[in-house]
Amino acid sequence: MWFQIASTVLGVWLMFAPAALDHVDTTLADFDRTIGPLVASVSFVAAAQISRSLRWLNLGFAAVLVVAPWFLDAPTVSQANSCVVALLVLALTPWGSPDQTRYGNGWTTLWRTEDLPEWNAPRASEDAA
Amino acid sequence: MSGLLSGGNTDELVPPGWVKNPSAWGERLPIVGLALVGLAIATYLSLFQYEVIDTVWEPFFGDGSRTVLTSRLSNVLPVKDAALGALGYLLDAVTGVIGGTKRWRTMPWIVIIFGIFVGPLGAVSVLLVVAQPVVYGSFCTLCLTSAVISLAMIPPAVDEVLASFQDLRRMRQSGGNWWRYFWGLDSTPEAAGADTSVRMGT
Repeated sequence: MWFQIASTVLGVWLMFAPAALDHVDTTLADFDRTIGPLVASVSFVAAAQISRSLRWLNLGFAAVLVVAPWFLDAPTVSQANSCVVALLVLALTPWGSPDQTRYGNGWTTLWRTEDLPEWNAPRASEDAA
Repeated sequence: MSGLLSGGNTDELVPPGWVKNPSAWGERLPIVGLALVGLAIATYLSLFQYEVIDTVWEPFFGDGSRTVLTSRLSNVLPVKDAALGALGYLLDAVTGVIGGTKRWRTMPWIVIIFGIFVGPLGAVSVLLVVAQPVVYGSFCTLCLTSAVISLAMIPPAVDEVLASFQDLRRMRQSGGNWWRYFWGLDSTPEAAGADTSVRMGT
């Protein structure tokens, strides 16, 4: 959960980076203010275990922002900020595999039915690993 | 064969293999509460868009709210977008309270409808937030707030959806009439013709 919360903070930072770093009228600002809310939203929802798999969307969003600053005209500080923040989001994404035993083994049971709990399966214990 | 389940999980409130009941009021009423807060905010913003009030509260972004709320994007549809947002929150609240604490298995249809309103509507509100600074160069505080509310509602709502989907999957595996079960016409798997002794994954 904390990895996704950190990504949320980074996404919010990107939303306000153009104003904070004074590159508001650049195309890079459009990228920051598009990718920022997308990363923040996805990470916020992915902080919950039931929707943790949404975090993988961040790989796509952040990849765009790792590459884009190299091709856009903007102050170096702004370019570095966008690229580094995007790399951090990439790094944070794979962590925090959810404990799906709380939810009947999760969404994958809908197609991998060997993990789908039986009709009379007992409830899972509160401290399921 | 029905003895396999007498007194067993088909009358249990907690879905098989789960820790908690996702349809419990303690899980659902907070979502309804958030939806009502969102409804209040969206109603307030609609009053501004329909010029019933002529100022809007904006503590951080100066002219931001006014710019976003009076923009052409807000006027694309016949109904102002804040009013549509208010309707969305109202639908969230209504579909959140319909049905008792067994609704994940006795009324899957309302759970899925609830999930459709909360999930994709939440996603649309995020897209509108994304559009604000890129298209207008400004942010609107209350619009951002309602987007956060919409997002916060998603995880608590989708766990009920998963419980219903798993039950419907079990119905299909067991040869029962999952369509009748989906609409709540048969409230136990046996009544819908499921052979509950069939092992999952076979």
